[in-house]
Amino acid sequence: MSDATQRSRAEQDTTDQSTLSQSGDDATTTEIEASRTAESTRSTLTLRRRIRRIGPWSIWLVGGFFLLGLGLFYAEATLVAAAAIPFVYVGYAALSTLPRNLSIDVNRSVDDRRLTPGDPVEVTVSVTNTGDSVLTDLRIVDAVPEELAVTAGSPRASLALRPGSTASFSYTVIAKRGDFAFGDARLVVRSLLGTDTATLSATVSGADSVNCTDPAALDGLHQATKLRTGVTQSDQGGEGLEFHSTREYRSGDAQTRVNWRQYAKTGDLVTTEFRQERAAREIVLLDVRPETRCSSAVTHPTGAEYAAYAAEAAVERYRRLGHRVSLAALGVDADDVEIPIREAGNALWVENAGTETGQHAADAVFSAAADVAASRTTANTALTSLVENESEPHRRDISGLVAQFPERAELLIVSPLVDRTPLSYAKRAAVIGNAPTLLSPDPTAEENAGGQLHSARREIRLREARGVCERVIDWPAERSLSAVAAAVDRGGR
Amino acid sequence: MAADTDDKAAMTTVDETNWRPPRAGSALGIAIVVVGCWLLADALGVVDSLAVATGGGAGIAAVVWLTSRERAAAMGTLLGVAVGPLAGSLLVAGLGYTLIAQLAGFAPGGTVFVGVSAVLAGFGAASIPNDSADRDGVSTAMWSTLLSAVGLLAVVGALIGNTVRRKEEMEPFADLPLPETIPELIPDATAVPPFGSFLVITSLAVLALRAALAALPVAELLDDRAGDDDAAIKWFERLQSALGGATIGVMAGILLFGARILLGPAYVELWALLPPAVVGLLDALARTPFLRWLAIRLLAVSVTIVVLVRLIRRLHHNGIRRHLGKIAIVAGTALAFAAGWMGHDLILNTLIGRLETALPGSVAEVVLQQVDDVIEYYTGEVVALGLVTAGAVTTGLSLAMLRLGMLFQVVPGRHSGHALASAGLFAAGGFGAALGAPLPASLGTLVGAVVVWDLGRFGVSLGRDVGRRAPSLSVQFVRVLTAALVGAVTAALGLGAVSMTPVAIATESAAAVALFAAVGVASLASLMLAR
Amino acid sequence: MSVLGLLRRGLLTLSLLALLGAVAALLLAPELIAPAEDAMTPIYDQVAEYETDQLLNTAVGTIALIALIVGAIRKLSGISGEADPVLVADDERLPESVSVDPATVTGYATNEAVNGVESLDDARQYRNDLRETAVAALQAGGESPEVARRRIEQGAWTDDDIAAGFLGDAVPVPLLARLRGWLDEAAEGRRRLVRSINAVATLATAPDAAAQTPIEEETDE
Repeated sequence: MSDATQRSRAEQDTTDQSTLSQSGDDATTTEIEASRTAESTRSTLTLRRRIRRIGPWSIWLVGGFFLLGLGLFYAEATLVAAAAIPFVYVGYAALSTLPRNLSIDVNRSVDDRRLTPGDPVEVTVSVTNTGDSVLTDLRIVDAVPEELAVTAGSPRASLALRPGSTASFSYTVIAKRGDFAFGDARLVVRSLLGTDTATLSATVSGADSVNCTDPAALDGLHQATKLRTGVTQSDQGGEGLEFHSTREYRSGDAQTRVNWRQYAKTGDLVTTEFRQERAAREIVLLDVRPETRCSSAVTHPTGAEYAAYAAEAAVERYRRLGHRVSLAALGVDADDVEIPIREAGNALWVENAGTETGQHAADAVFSAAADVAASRTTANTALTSLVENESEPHRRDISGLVAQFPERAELLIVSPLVDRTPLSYAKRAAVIGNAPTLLSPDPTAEENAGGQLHSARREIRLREARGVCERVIDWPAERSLSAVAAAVDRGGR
Repeated sequence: MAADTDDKAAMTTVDETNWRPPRAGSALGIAIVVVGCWLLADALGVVDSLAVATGGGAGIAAVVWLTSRERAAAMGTLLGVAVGPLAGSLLVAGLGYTLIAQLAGFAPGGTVFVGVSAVLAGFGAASIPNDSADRDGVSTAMWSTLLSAVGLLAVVGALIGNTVRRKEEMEPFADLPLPETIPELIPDATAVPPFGSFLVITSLAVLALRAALAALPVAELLDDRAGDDDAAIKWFERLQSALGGATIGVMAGILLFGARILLGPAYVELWALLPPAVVGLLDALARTPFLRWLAIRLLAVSVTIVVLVRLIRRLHHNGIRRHLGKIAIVAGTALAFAAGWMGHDLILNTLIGRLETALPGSVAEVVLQQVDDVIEYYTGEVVALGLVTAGAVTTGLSLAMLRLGMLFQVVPGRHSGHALASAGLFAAGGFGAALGAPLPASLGTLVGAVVVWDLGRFGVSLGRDVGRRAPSLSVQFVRVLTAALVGAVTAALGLGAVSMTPVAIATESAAAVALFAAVGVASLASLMLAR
Repeated sequence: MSVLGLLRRGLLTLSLLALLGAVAALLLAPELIAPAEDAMTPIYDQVAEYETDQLLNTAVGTIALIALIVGAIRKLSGISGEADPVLVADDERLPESVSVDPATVTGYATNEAVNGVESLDDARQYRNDLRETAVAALQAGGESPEVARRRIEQGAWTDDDIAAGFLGDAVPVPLLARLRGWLDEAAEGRRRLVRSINAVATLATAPDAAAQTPIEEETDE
């Protein structure tokens, strides 16, 4: 970049300066530009403000005079000599300046493993003094995205750097679904006794966002519904590999299935029926209704966000394994989805997320679900009871959706279980033969009375669910999805 | 980066105390103050008294912290007001002993100035950890201690006046027209039984009893289940309604009373209509002193109970800092008063013992004799209380002076702990050097004063910028080192210059001219640099 | 600050310090300045007319005056000067903060309800909700609703006396709790609610343990 464009950019960037006051003034403000070209791996430094201010130190002039007067009063030469001490301090403070070429490199690194919502992410910022003089007082604050909360460490640091040395500090944020960008870091550099200060902003090289968007097809999630990979054997006759029975030839049967040996023997045309292979079938029911969009703490994502992520990961997993998986989503409005989706009951229904169109539909539903899951629901404080009244879903809605379920498909319900609606669906599904499994992220924390009560009620629902569902997987608030999936894989609860 | 989060609250997971100055810097500042003061005191030979005086200064800082706390505010105010007289008396005692030592020749003249500076430094150093010496805190402490001092003054004044009166056998109130005796409750024998007044008194007593029972937690003591079918509660309510019937008695009594006054002789005739047995019974009842005595006691006790209960419930429920604050001040004063009264032996013995050791022989005799006379005249308790009051007054006045300094902006209004500590240390160093303390100690104290000031300011700014969570030890270390080095080098140079050629200032006119020139130059330099 | 300004300041300071040094030399080592003494003689004579003490006191007075002037200058310049730069200004968002409404945390409404309790009656309004939750918990542990209700009423579901007495009719609340309620109803009401919620939460995690305690059978009334 040419110097001219650099300069103009820096001029635009610097904030407005105050004017010099006429009478004796402690501070002079200047607009020295100290920006530098950055290669893509180095950070850009922009000077915002430069202040020289010896005002506070001038009080020691009074101290010097005090000593001088005392020395004269008591006729002590040593005191008069000692009066030099405060004067020298003031002089030194007045003369100390910052190095002319400030050159600092700031680099940020973020945990680059695959992130799931709720994971603690460690961000490490390292600051290097690439100039040639010592920086004795450098204070830096990193611009954390406003949606993410800092739960450990501090995004601020104060460092003293020799030329060429590097110091680093780190802090932890909790990841949420989405892509969150960091801003520029802000620095304040001071001279030795603090009289010359420069405020700078630095674009940070290295990682510039916390990215948690693609649900990984996590190992182990498919084990939740206890199906073997590939195919299951069924008891019906039809196409397949293993012998089942024979029947009379009907026109239209494939020639390969005709039992030619028998024809050779007896002259009858007979068709062999093999065991019908059925591809494994699953249904994933995702619950992101408004009641579920609460979190255990302000630092963590909502239960609905966890559920949406887990459901998407599960569907992805099943698809990779070749199962036929259907998707039902409660709580997502059809208008919010980009492409038209079929509705069944009051849920969105995608018949087969394995096909091309099905995949588009499922992706659209999941993206809408992720958006809606992050829009938190404010609690209603105008209640006359301790907990909100739970609304029972309409039986017609339940049956409308459950009727769509393919026969003998296994049902995976992903829901934070904030009320008994998922249980109603589970009961109905169990009755007609779709064995339900429940994967439930925990949106409650036990720190205060409200959290405890909600946690207790959810616990009761979980117990009830254990009686209805084949398997209940309780996903505690502080564990990550990958840990839960691994536990499921190993055969845990 | 301005946020568009108008309707979303910005929640933070960081505590308020995170933004205070880092602990290491504060600890170092306090250490420098302690070491500097100790070195100077040691050099001047007044370590004991200076330690006591500085302890008093630190005690006043503790009073400021206690009275301006937000958590457990009432308890804090109570303790602060109770400790105030102690701190003040320590201050006075320490400085007094220093003055005595100076006058008696044990210490160079002017040592008391070093003492005052050390007190200031002690106050500042003790205010550093909690950063409590700001405008509001000092104001609150000042008002509380002044109120307490006024209260103590009033009480002690009364006691002294009483003692004087007793000793001199004065009767100041002899000329006031007080009634000789309280009028009797039982009227003279009259023709008719004084049933009216009896009825009124007893009925009022019964009503008061009812109110007291209602105020007391009798219902809660029995049971407070939701179900009403409890015999005890029913019985209690029946009792209450029965007692309520005493209203009739009040009305009847008033009627009779009025009738007696209005009807006059006709009243006597009305009474004569009743059968004599009844009259005799009523008469006996109305004249029994025991019943009247009981009724009046019951009335007094019930009223007291009702008032107390109201007070307690109100205090417990409201928790308003004002009410509790005022009561806490009174309670603290009472505590100090009680301490002085009970411990008067201890106080007086300590005082006399110290005086014995501090004063030189001949003076000691005279002074101790005087002290003994005073104690005998006014009794030990009163003298001890007088000392307590003096301490309270000292604390109040010192805080008032500090507040005045803050008003005139001589003292900074916020984070003034390290500024005061630095000022005190600087003055102590200067006076110490003037009085002949060894130069390394006094010059070192001067340098230490500047370092404490710089470190304090730096710590405040660091705490506000990065907080305690972020590591800041290296930066503080560099800053302290820089400041200390600058001062040490200058002090060493000055020492070298002075030790090479000792000179008496006031002997040569050349020297005088030179000094004026130096002063002129220094002022010009400061004018330049102060801009 | 520009280089020129810095140079100006530096030069001025240096010259003043040099002057100061010369004066100090005059004071401490007069033989160095001997050559210039002739020029100074008239001044010396003038000064010698005054007494030493007078001179000294005048000097002290002048110094005090100058100190006041310096203080005044400082005060004046302090008003129109620049403020110390801060890392995060007061009106900016704290980087440690997160823009999430605290009302979206689970249990917010319940906490607000508990904090809004002003008397024991207010607290008793919420008893039914807690009773229903406790009954549901016991049911999940295998008891029938009627037995569960009886158990709640008799307080045989928890070790906590206050919770048992609060939710159950047949069990009294302990004496100390009643006295506390007399002193301050609001605080005691809140306390009983919170204790009951704690007890119900414990029950929800272990209903089987609570179901072990025997209860009295209901007699016909």
